[in-house]
Amino acid sequence: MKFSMSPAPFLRRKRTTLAIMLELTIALALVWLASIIYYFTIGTNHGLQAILIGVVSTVTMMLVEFLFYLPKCIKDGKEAVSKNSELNCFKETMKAMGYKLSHSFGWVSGLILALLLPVGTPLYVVVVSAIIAILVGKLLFGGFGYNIFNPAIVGRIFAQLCFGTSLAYGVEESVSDFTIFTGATVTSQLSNNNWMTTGLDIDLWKLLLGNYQGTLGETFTLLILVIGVVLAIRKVIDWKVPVFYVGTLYLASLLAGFCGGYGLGSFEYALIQISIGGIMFGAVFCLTDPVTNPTSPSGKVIFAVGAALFTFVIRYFASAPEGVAYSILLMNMLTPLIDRCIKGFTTKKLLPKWGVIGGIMLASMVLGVSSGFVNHGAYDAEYRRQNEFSSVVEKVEDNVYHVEVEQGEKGRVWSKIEMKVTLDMNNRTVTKIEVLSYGGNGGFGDALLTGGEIEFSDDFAYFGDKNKALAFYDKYIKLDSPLSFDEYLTIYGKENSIGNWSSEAKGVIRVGATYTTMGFIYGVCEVINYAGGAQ
Amino acid sequence: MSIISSRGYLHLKGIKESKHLTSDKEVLEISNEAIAKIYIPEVGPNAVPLTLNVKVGDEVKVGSVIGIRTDFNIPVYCSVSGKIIAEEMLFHAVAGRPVKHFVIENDFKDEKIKALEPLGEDASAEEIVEQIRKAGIVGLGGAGFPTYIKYRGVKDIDTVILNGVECEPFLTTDYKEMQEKRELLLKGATILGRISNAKEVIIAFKADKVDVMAKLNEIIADYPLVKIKTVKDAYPMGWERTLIKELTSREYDRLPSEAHVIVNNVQTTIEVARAVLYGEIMTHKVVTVSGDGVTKQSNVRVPIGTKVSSIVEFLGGYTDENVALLLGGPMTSKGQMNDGVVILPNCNGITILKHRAIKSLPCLRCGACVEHCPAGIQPVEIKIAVESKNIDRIASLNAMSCVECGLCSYICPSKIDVTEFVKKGKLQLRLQEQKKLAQQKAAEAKK
Repeated sequence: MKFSMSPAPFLRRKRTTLAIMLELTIALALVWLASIIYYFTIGTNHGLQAILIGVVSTVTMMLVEFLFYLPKCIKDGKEAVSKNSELNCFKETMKAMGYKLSHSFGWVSGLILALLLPVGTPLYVVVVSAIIAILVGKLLFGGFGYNIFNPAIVGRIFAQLCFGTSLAYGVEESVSDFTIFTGATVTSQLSNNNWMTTGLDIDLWKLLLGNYQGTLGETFTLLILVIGVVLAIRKVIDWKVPVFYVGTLYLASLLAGFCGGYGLGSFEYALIQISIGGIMFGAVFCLTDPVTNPTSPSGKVIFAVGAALFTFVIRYFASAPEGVAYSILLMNMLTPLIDRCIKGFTTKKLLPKWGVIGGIMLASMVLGVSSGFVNHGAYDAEYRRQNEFSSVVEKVEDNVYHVEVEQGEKGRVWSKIEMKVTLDMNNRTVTKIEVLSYGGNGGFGDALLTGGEIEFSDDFAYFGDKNKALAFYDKYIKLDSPLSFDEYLTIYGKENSIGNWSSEAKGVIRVGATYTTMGFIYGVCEVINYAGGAQ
Repeated sequence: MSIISSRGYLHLKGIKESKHLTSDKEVLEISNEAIAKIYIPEVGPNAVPLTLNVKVGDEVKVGSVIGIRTDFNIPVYCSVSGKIIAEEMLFHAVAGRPVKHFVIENDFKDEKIKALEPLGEDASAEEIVEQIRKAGIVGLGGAGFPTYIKYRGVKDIDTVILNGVECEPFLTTDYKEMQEKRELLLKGATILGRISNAKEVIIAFKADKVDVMAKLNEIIADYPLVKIKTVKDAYPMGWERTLIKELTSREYDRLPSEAHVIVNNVQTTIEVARAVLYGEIMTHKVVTVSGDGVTKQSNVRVPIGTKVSSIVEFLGGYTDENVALLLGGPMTSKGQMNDGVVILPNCNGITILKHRAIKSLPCLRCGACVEHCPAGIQPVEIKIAVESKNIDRIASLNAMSCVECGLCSYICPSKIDVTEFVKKGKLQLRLQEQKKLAQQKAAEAKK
């Protein structure tokens, strides 16, 4: 008879760390699957790339762990053999390795890193960032449970800093109908527009469903939300962290919206703000990594609102539109400090704790208000600069007109198009258009106006859709057969500002060089008006 | 409850099933051969030596005083009649080391000495408290604290809570005793209410015990002072602090009396009623013997001083070669080194579980232990402080407030013995305290 002397309690909850990690793995795999399906709908090569990035990232991390733990496991194997000589040394080593690998959870970091990379990431970049992530981010700190930073985020930021250009331009021409943003991420586009969403025809549903391009995993906002709720109910992640993080950001964006003059549209504006740039993905999968979280409930909330504040600062006031990753690393760094500061009973001194949380949230709100005002003003100026067109029309000979279109504020010409337009007043058709001069920077717009004579350079491929641009050229510029005045006039509408153009018109002009097409149509219509062709 | 503070309790999965092993079965009477010899330790329930009243060779009867506890001045009675034939070193469950036990050969005549006279209806509070002391009643919920101390010179109490929550898995003795002795319970409740001058006496148990509820409700009208309240099925709801907070929303620093509350176990209350009304002392105890390590699970009525090994034998023995033998429930009790220990008044269960090896992983830092700690402290942070030998940090984390309920180890997904780390932290704090005292004394001696 043998009596066990292990310490109390003798009952343990069935749930294990391994089970928690497996559930998390399933959740990540679902997001990955959604991403693979989406990229397959764009093109087989993209789909395969999405699969490859995930596999390469995960396999690399597991391999690094394997090599890292090999000496230790060989030692364990030998020890086991020395105790019982019947055992096979190789088998024992592999057994130790199997336990080590299955309880080090390298694949979780591997999947997260993969989902944080865009589909165009070259595989060598994936390999290098995966090695940095697992080695520097985790193993050198002592492996699972001891790492200070979220390994996947370490890898992602390494990739961003060292291979930033290959990440951005790696996405080749795209067939998405989400034309204006194709290639470039929504976040960087919005960032260029001072975070104002008017005039940028974002389909909220598309943003929520995630069928647009970004990094592999971050775009599926709604899916991530549902998975997040399930994970929170199953206690795989702590609900407090994502709720306080996203909640703070939502409120701050809401204030930014109100102060930016959106009125009731602010609710939608704020929803868009939290749907982009991996906020949801970061909130559910990265920020909640318990190893890098404070342990106490109040600490977790402070951690979450702190991360929200940093995200807001980095996103709206610094030059990195993807502020989520940086904010997570910053808060990871502060985690030991937060833990350190929370002493005594968790059930007491609740008021000061709420005070700290409220203070940090308030800071975010103040930033939200100021960013609303700042961006509003900046955007107004930008909007005027880009959207005002003026033209000078001259009659050269009968039915032939010379027109010069200028885009920009008075005295500050932004861009210029010069062309010769021939009209047939009897049939009310445009018979010939000759583009005499154009922007001249060799960009997408120039390529469009020349019908590809100036080549669609790869450097600008991410701006737009070459095929659509050519289709526009064929229909409105090349004019194999005369085209009716009404074709132009319906696009133009009544106002010469894109903000007021009909959505149909927007569909026509948005091929990747919006202001070029807009200026072109404007010019032709001015000619028709001048000749008295408009009725 | 705030979302940034500890929740303080947790529903244990499978607790109902564990209780059902014994709750619906009749209480068994132990066989004569199992109690042919009775062993009474020569120390009190908390391992402090007795002033002995008998010696080897003496004839003893039910109610003979074996000795007097020196710490609280209460008697320890003999539970059977017969002869003290020897002294034997046996393991003591509380002391954690072998101590001398009297071996009493049971003659099964059950001869009694009237140890106490019953008190009349008009007995004063002081007389009743004295009677409780003389009866040697200690807390039967597990702690073994002498009951009369709580009521001596009592003042400013408005509520007496009678604890029948029994939140540990497997144990069902409180439940069985409440079912069987409802009148004694209500009478005892009235007595305790009277001597403490309380406005109300609350009998508390878990909401699922509907049969107890019904049985008590049938006759409760005769006891106007007594109320019944149910609590949720969570652990450690039976801990004084949690129970008081749950029932009265009051919190206190050190003792329940600060919150104007006294807490007693229901079985203690029944013993009080027997001593006061009938002059009877406690000789027998119902113990739950349960778990997957014993062939037959049941409640058994045994004389105090029965060896655990003979009870297990009576129930068909162990089911495995390697078991954990626990005096009490599985959450707080430590493993016994052997089954030669004896049943003491404050032992209400024997849990025998098949041995399960537990392999722990590095801490995930999930904070589940912090989120559920009933004491509101941060077990994982204390663990880190203990590992890094940072005594100041251990102190600042209020490690001394730990009640060792075991919930943090229970809930840990990495299967870390968190409770053990906190215990180590407490030990280190105590050692430091002693060191400081010694240094102070040395400094004073120099002067």
